[in-house]
Amino acid sequence: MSDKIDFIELDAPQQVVAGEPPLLHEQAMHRVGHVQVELVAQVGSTHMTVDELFALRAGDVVRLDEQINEPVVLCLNGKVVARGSLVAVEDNFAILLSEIL
Amino acid sequence: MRPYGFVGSSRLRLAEALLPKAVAQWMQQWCFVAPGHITVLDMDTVLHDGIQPDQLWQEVDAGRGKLWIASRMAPVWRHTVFADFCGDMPVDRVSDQMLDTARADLINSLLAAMSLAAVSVAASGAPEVLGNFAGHLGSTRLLLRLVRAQAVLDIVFDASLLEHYLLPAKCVRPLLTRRQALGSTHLAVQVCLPFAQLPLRYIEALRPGDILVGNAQLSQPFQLRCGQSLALAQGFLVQEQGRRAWQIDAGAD
Repeated sequence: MSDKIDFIELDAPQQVVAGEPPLLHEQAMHRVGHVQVELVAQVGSTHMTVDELFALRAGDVVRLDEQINEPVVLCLNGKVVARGSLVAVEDNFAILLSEIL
Repeated sequence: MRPYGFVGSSRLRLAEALLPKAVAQWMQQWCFVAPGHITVLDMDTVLHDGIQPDQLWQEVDAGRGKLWIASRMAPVWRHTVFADFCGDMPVDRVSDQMLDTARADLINSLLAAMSLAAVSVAASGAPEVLGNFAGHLGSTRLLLRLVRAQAVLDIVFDASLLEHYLLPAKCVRPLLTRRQALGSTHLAVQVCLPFAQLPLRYIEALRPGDILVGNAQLSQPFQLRCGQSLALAQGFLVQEQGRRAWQIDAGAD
């Protein structure tokens, strides 16, 4: 048995006739607000060479550039979105937010 | 295929210093008196039109390189050697033999001037028309030109024949191995804690003063990351001399 095959041809995008269409933004947050994303707390950073990195072993201490009382940053997809202090709430880490970007 | 190259001023100067002297001595020995002019030119500056295109040339292999000279039948030899008496000299076996010997002596005088061993000219390549040895941009050949009255005797030779006079090349610093270069590259590393999985609307509603409780427990290790990479290692936050520090617990999986 052989089926007849037709190729699908796509149309070109339609031209907007007149006026400026509404932005998607208002509706979009309502529709994507449930999407789960991962927040990462970055508590410090430093620079080291590849050799230094590869030479690290268990028990080694890496000194970071940040002072103890400096705020930690919250990152979403690698971008800083908030700052605050790292605290403990019962058995969990928590962040007392001081700045939202 | 021939490597692209250049003669360079050192070899050109050497040729100018060594070769005209050798040709002048040869002329004293073999040629009838007549004014002559000897020049050495970089073949980069002499293109096809500069040398006799219709003349038959003979290739002579001198080991370190080659030279090309007018073949034994070329009239230029008779003009060069006999000069103004060219018309008076008989064209016979004796004069031909004399010219052959003079020609061979010129070749070996030039090679001797360049501290190279003599060659047997008779065993050299068969005559050929102007070929690949002609001048061109990037040529590594030199042209020795002897002009006597109406005769122009051209000798083309590889600059490599003079190579052993060059000073040894400067020692260059050895290249850094790729591993060394990579090893000394500076990286920015961050100590991070996967904090919480939250819906976007929750994040949008956050305000200063809020306490955001994470999913991460206090016993959870912090990760060492480089950019957006996976965790390189994990450990715990400590303090050292008033600064935050991070102590490695164990390598990340």
